[in-house]
Amino acid sequence: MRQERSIYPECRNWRATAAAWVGPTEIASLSRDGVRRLGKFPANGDWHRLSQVWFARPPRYFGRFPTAAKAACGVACMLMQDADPQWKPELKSEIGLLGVGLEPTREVNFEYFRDYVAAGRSLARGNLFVYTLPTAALAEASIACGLAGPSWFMQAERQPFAALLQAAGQELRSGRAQAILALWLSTAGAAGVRLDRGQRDSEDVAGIVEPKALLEAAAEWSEIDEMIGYFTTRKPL
Amino acid sequence: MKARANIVENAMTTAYGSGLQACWRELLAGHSAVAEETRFAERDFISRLAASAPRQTLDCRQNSRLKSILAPVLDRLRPRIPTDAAVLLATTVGEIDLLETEVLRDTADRTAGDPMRLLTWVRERVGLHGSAGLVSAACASSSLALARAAAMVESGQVEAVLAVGCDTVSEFTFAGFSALQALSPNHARPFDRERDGLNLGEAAVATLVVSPQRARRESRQILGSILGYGIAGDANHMTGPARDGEGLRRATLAALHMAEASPEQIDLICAHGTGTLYNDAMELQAFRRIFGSDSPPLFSVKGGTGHTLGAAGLLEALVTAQALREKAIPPTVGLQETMPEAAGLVRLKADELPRAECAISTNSGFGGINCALVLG
Repeated sequence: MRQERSIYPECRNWRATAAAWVGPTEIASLSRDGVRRLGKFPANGDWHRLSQVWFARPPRYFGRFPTAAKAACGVACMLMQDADPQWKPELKSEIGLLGVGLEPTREVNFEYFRDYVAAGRSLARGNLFVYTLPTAALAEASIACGLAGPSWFMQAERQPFAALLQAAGQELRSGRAQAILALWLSTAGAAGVRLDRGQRDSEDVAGIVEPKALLEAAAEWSEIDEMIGYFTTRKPL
Repeated sequence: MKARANIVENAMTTAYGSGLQACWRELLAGHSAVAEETRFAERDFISRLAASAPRQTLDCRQNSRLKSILAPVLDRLRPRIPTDAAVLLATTVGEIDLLETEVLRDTADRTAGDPMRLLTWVRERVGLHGSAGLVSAACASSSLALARAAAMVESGQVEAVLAVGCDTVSEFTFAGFSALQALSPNHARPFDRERDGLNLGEAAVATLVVSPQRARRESRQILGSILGYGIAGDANHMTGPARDGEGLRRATLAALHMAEASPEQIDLICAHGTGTLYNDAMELQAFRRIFGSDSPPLFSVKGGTGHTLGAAGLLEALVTAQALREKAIPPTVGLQETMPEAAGLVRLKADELPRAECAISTNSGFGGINCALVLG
């Protein structure tokens, strides 16, 4: 696990109130109520079952989403459910959704253009083209979960997840969002944290009751090392 | 109204040529840079029209079309960029022609055209050593870059940000927009009764954003000020905007709130105005809901420059700032017969706005992302 010190030191006005991940080792979330495990990473057919666990009405064409978009929907849903058991996706909220991780975009770009070339360079598939944007997985998650706050993708050269958290902190401090979901996207899945406004510096990450459980579980998925590294450079866990 | 950050330098290449002045002059004259695009002549796309950068503006020594457009822009700006500036790069697909080449060669390098390599190239070309990041919000990417630049400056994270927006006309995007039936076979006609789609365009735009204190300290000429910004989502559809313009309405209201400005204080609007059926109608709904029957005049540049995707927000913000400086509003290039909802708002010819001091520039993108900037 990386222990590099964050170069984005001023993320002081938020507290992480939930974490969730849909990754190669497991699907789980962590909140004040403890760890909720939804099982192993799904084989293709299991996505349908998962979509019904997450959503009363699963998103249309969920089965056709790229893995990152499916996982982003699941992570966003778990982060919202854990924060508010009464939450309903059809009631839109001004909660923001930020994302990092270019791997899914690279993959879809290649697949989309290869498919177009294979079809004789006459007709592209629009339903692949829409996923060539880095924001595509976030967009599916925002539609599925009714997240109508600020949303964008960013990838800093150094410590990209920490930079994302800093941007989220700036949004929360300015009052431009009630809360922010910060997601790490990969071709294998997604992980994320929900950030709510904090009152004092000391509340940083205090909302995570069992952070060690988060770290132990998430550490098995190396893709989110940097996110873990960020948390481990903060106050005692 | 307080400046959150100031725009103090700019450089650009559009289909009109090099520089903001060329772009402004052509827009004001109502000229379109959209023309027959011969690079994809053998393809069976809905449209053969695009606004591509003139050959004489390209640095053909570069290994991608995007770099060939971007290099001269960065080189012009480089002497005036402080070395502590952070970099924000906004693009939708970056050097996508590199990936196209790899696929056509049937090689398996999926990282060709990786925008992070372009980001590093941009930072090094300008000689910067500070933080650098890629930002993306579909067709609102570079208005987001300006918003983020203002947020970074205002929070004290940095004093100066080089914001860069760029995209090219590529087979990759042409095929995609064609498949989505979003292209017009004709010259795009934003806010027109007969509008039937957009024309793609390419551009590279760079601007230096600094804190008001830094601008004063270095006696920088202020070309425009970012007074507020707002970002909001539709949470509605992957490619279509919310019909009622709710996301854009909330983004614009958030920008006005941040600027501590009332709707009555807005003198003109640079709309996204792609020329698609749904986008233009959605925007007019949003503006009517904010401004009522007293909406300020608005214009779109996309009938002239084409839709420059990741460069659009920056390009349009700089044109808007120019409009405020010149106290003039350009016509909406391509407009012939105004759609009823836009009656009295859009112009067939340039017009003077002698009291113009404050403007809004908005962009909306796939996934329902909306970004509004209040500029002064």
